[in-house]
Formats: sequence, C-alpha cells, structure tokens
Amino acid sequence: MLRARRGTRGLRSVAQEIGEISASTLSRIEQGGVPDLETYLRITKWLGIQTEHQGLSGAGETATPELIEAHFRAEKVLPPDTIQALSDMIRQAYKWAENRGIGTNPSK
Amino acid sequence: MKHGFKTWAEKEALRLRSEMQLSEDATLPARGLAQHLKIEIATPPEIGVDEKTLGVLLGPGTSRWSAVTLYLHKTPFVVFNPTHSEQRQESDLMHEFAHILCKHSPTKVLVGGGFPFPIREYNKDQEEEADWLGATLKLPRNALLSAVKKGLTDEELAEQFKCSVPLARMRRNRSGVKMQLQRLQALKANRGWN
Repeated sequence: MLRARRGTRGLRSVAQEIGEISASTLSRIEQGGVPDLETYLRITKWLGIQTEHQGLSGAGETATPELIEAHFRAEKVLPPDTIQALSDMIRQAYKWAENRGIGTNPSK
Repeated sequence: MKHGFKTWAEKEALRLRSEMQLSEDATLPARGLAQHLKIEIATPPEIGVDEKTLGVLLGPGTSRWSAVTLYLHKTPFVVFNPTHSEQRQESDLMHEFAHILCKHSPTKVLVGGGFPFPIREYNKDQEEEADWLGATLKLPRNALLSAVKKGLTDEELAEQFKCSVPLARMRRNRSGVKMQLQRLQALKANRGWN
C-alpha cells in the first residue's frame, strides 16, 4: 500500500513529507519490516488510514513470544529473519527462566 | 526527563556503590550489579537457543539487537548479546538495569485495532531516562570530576570505568563537569592562581 501510494516519487522525498522517518526506514517497511507504533501512525496518517489504537490490548508478561520481539530497542525496523530469531530466543528465554524458577524461587 | 531525575540518578549510582561496599569513584561492573540486584542475566547460548537461531542472532542479525529485559512472575531477567565489545555489553546491561531501577513499565505491544501486525509502543521518556541512569551508574559525577581533574582522556575514562568511549564523552560533555572545570580554570586565571 505504501509502495503503491509512493508511486514514482523518491523515498527521501516521501520520508520528508511523512516526517521524522528516514528513507532507509521507509524502504525497510516497504520490504516487509515492522515499524514501531509512532512510525506506523505517521505512515497511516500520511496514507489517510484511520486507526483505532486506543482500545488495543497491550502485551505484558503474558504476551506470546511472537508479540514481544518488538521489545528489542536496537533497531526501529527489523528484517523478518531477525524478528523470527528474536521470537525464538524469547520463547527459549521463558523456558529457561521457568526451569530456573525465576520469580518463584526466592534464592534466584 | 522528569524534574530532579538527574540528581536522583547520581544518588542511585552512589547508593548502589555504597551497598556493594565500593568507593564512590569505583568502577561498577554490570555483572556485579546484576548479582547485587539479584537480576539473572544470560546470553542466547546460555539459555539454550538452537544453532540455527544463534546463527542469525549472533551472525548477520547481531548488530540489530543489544539486550532485552523480560519478566516472569513480575521478576525481571535479561538476555544480552555477547558478540558486542565488552564495553558495549556493559552499557547495554546498565541500560536494562536502569529500566528496572526506574520501575519503567515494559514496552507495550499493540495488537488488533486495525493494525495488520503487532506494533510496539516506543516510550521516548523511558528510553532517555534509562540512557541517562545507565551512563550515570557507570560514571557518577564525583568520580568523573576527579578523573577529569587528573587529565584523563575519554579513552582513559572508558578504560578505567569499563564503559564505551562515546559514553565517557557523553558524560564529560553533559554532566556539567566540563563546564565546572572550565569555570574553575577561568577563575584561577583571573586571580593568577596556579
């Protein structure tokens, strides 16, 4: 949708128009990267799409690993293979933590 | 950043050193602090991540992540990237501990509401606070002032306090120490002191 709306215009020009987003971030999103909330809202506003984010559920400690890969702070947009790897790592991290009794064993 | 946060951060850096029976200008190692705070830390290989996933996380994807704090039964634990330099790991871990010490709410991930995929909520204020406290824990103002008075360079500061050079530079420039010394030097020059 973003790619179609951008048409033949350059990434840099569109990024400037959207505001507070780099051309490289825009490019990664066009290639399937997942943006953070602020970036996503800026893009949807530019696209003229209404979002209903007020009533959304927040993922806390009960979130599934697939949802909390976004905790990672190093990059605003991650490639799909990294997202998958981070999801797998989080899933494994919770197994590891359960096995160690984190949060249940006072000595841990 | 909340009013008074920077003062609180300085006090936290000193409080923790005192609790750990370290001097005010001592190096505070992240792993030691983790032990003191009873926060479990581990790398992906240590938690048993499979080889294929490790290949991505510690290979092509390694520059894309630093550390993550997760909560189980309201208890935090941290998984961090061991392929970064030792100084970077120290900074990454301190940043995560800072979030925990600040009692920041975990990043929310929003689902539904018309979003085609999960979206994370980026809390700029919390990130700024964690950056500031993480750096202050490494280089408290008093320790920094004393070291800078001795003429230590950013590289030497980083070496002494086991932090990255950019962090040392940031603390020198933004903690007020640089200005304090400049004023002191100007005063000395005006009054003809050595």
